[in-house]
Formats: sequence, C-alpha cells, structure tokens
Amino acid sequence: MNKKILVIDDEDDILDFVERVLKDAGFVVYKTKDAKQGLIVLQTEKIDLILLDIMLPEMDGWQVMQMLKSEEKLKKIPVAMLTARVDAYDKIIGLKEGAVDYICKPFTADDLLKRINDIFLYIERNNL
Amino acid sequence: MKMPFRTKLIGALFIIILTVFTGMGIYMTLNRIKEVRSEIVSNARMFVILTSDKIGDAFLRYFKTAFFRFRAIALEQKAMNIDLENIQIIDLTGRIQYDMAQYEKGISFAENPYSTDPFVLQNIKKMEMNIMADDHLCIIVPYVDEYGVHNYSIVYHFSLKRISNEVSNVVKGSIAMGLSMLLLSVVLAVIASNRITGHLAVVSKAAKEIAEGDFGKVITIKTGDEFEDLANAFNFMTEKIRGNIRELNNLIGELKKRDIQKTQFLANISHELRTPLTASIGYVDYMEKEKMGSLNPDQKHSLEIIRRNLERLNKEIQSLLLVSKYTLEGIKLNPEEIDISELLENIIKNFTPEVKLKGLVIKTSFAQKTLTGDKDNIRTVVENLIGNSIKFSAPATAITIATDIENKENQKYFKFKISNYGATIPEDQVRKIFEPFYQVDATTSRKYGGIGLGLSIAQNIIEAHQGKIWAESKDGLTTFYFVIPQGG
Repeated sequence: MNKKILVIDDEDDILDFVERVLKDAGFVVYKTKDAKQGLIVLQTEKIDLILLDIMLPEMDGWQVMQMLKSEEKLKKIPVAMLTARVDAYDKIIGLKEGAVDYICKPFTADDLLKRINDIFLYIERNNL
Repeated sequence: MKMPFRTKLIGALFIIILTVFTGMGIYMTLNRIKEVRSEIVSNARMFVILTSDKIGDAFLRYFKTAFFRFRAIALEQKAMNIDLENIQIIDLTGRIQYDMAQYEKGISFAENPYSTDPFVLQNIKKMEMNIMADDHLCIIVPYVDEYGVHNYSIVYHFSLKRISNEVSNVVKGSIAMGLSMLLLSVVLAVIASNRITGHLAVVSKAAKEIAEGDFGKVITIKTGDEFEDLANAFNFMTEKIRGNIRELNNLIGELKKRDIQKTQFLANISHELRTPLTASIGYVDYMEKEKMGSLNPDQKHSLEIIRRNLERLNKEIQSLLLVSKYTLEGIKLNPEEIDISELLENIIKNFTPEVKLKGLVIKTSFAQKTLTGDKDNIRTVVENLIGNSIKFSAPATAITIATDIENKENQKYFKFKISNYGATIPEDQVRKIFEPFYQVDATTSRKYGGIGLGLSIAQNIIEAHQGKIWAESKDGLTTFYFVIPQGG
C-alpha cells in the first residue's frame, strides 16, 4: 500500500513541486497551506509522514508540532521539518521537540526522496 | 619625579626660612660687631681722658717712693673698665717703666725692657692721643706734668674679646630663633598642606571614580575659597559629562537598534528571496534530470545554465542570511567529532565540474583525519576556502590541501592549509579580505562573482571555535590557514 504524506507549506509553488516529486515516486500526497487545513486532513486520513514548514502564517511550525504531540491520536505520526540550512540551531530544537528529520530549503528532488526514504527505513527498523 | 605637594611646601618653607634667617643673622651680627666696637672704643676714649692725668700724677708722685699707693690707684682705675687689659707707662725712648699685667703676674725685670710694639714706638713721642684698634685697641696718651714737660706716655690696652662674645651670643640667638621658626613652619606647613591636599585628594579621588565610570559623583567643599570654586567647577564638569554620556548612550542605543533593524531587514529579505528559489531550483533540477520527459541537448544545456545561476543566487543569499544571523544571534556551536578527511573529499567531489573546467589538480594530504568542531559550520568554512582557491587559481595549476596537528604551549591545534597559484594578494590587503563585503578591488566581484562574505563568515566561525584564520600571499602563491584548538 502506498504511503500517505501530508505536506504543510504556505507556498503554492513549493507545494506543487513537492507534490509532483512525491507523486512521481509513488506516494499519496495531501497538501495544505496552513495548520488548520492540515488538522482536517489528519481527522480523516491515516497519514504516514508529515512534512512541515517552519515559517507558517498564524501558527508556526513549532506550535503545530506541539499541538500534534499533545494529541494521543496524532502524536505517533513522524514529522519532518522543512526549513533553511542556516537555521542550524532550529534543527537541534526541532529534533528535541519530536521532529524525526530536518530537510533544508532549497532542496532537489533527489535530496527530498532520499531523506523521505531514510525516514521510512528508520521507522521500519525501529518499529515505530 | 613625583613629589607630594606637602614635601614641596615644607621644602620651600625650609629654604625660605633658612635663607631669611641666615641673611638676618649675618646682618645682625655685622651690625652688632660695629655697635660693640664703637661702644668699646668710645668707652675707652672717655676712660683714658678721665684717668690718664690721675695715673700720670700718681706715677710721678708715688711710683718711686710709695709704689703700693701707685699700684692701688692704678688698679682702682683699671677696675672701672671691663675691657681694659693692661696699662703701661713708657718713656719717650720707648722703655717700659711700668707694666701692670707683667707686674701683677709677678714678673719683674732687672732692667726695664723696651717696648716692641711698632705702633707704640712710633707714637710714643707724639703730643696727642693715638688710637689703634685692629685686633686689640691700643690708646697712647701723652702725660704732661705740672711744668708742662712730656716725659712719659700712658699706653692703654683694651681687649676686643667682648665683640666676639657678643657676636657668638647673637649667632646663638638667631640660630635658636631660626630653628624654632623652622619647627613652627614645618608644623604650619603640615597643617596647611593637609588642608590643601585634603581638598585636592577629595577632588582627585572623585576624578578617579569618574574615570572608572561613576559619573554620579558630586564633591562638597564649603571653604569659601578657591577650593570651593574648584569643587563647583568640578561638579559642573561632571554634570556636563553626565549629560554628554546620556546623549551618547541614547545615540548608541539608537544606532544599535537601527543596526539590529537593518540586519533583521537583511535576514527577512534573504529569506523572502530564497523562498521562490526553492521551487525554481527544485523544478529546474527535476526537469534537467528528464523526470518530466526527455530533453534535446539544447534544452538540457539551457536548463543546466538556469540551475547553475539559481544555485549561485542561492549561495549568495545563504551567505547574507548567515552573516545577518551571526550578527543578530552570534554563532551557536554544536561541537562533535568530524571525520575531516571524509568531509573534505566530499566537498572536493562537489567542486569537480569547476575543477575540470579550469584544468586544475587538487592534491591532498590528511595527516590529521579528525577534528572536533561544529560540522555544519566547519563545512561552510572549508567550502568557502576551497571555492575561493578554485575561483582565484590560474588555469591548469595545482591546489594543495593539507591537515595536520600542531602542538603549541601544551595545546593541541588542528591545522588546515590550502594553497593555490594565481594572483598575489597585496600585502596591505591580506588582513582586509576577512572584512565583510571586502574584495581586493572593485573589479574582483565582476570578474569572479560573489559579494565578498565567504571569508568574513569563515572568520566568524573559526573565531567562535577559539581558532585563528589568516592568509599569506607571495609570488602568486596564496595560502589560507586556520587553526582550531583541540581538547585533551
């Protein structure tokens, strides 16, 4: 069965690109522009991985993360942060806060797919 | 030479008093000598006038017949003058008829001797009174008897010892007075200088406190004299300084705020610039790899150019973001053990297209394979240095990269070194290239691209690791070094 990935980013073009790459690679992709819509998707679909942008309007990535981790149903879903490489410090916080990985913008299709495959491999191996 | 005011004041008073009293002493002494001498001389003159006839008469009447009567009269006369030492009676041939001093000492002569005193011999026959007063006072008075005959002269010898006694008294007196004045003046000087230096110490202590940054200092001196003026002037000055400092602090605060705003603005702009790049680079790269249908060579070439330019743009924006971030927040390090040889091989591999294009050779020797540091940051530094070396290498030359461990003063240092052949960096600019936005000349950025942040970022990072980065350039060989202290 194909894995389901939810992408939350306020940039249409980035959503478009990520969707294209992931679909071509055989994933089922749900894209939303903010956390509210993301939560609606999470209510109805069983999501395997969330790609979460840090710089979001209204509620930023960290707040979304905290919310996800506080809900019993959602807290086991792995989250990978999408952000800039310069924010190296954010990475440490991100991983502590419960993100499984951290993907730097800008990224190529190869970068993205390799990281996502690594995450799924890691989850499988650790039976998470 | 530093000498406290008190010492100077006491010294000055000492010298002044010493001079004044010495002068006064000398003047008083000379004056006293004159006074005493003239007193002795006038007393003696009076004395001889009053006594010469009496002694002469007694000599004629009693000397041969009743000597003891004569002696009594002579001694009686002598007792009336304290300075008188001797009375002689000498005849006109200079023969001494009577010598009171010799007689009273009990010395008698078989034959009366002649006087040896030249003054006496010279003046003995003269019919007037003669006075000589050098070391002693000698007065010769001719004695004329009742018949008007001058057979004898009476010679009086007065002592001038009283002068030196008087003088020594004067000197002793003035020395004693001088000493007591000195003592008094020292005491007064100490008191006065304490008063003065006490006030001055208050002012200088306050000045020191101000120099140390306590500008709230106010000094109170209520003496109603120049010290109060000084204190007031001082307080006025500190008040002015306080005002100026307030103004400066406000200005500094304002500047800092603006600098932060500016940097924040730079960070925001960079972020905004990068967002569109993410989708662009992503898609171009995706298309170039023919994930969306096959491409003809022209299309592929064009896409490659677009991608390269986007990546270049991305790199510059990245640098701007890094600089603004480091300025705003400082560098936060997350040190770990890095396999530096692996990291370097990796980076060198990424530069392969540029290296091939210029026909360069990269020689490596990794004597040290690990390094403790922040991996992302060290990668940025090494990428910048290697990128620079490639950019500034002359075509078909070699770049050498070496790592090593160095021991200096019981501290181990990781040392990185990269050399390339190309243009020589002028000596006066070898340090400046680490300043942000610095390029050796304005045309450099046109020729080689880049806005000159790489080395500044590298320096920020190396310094955050307590290390040092520098460059040497001579005869076309340019070498960049950095060292980072290693624990243990």
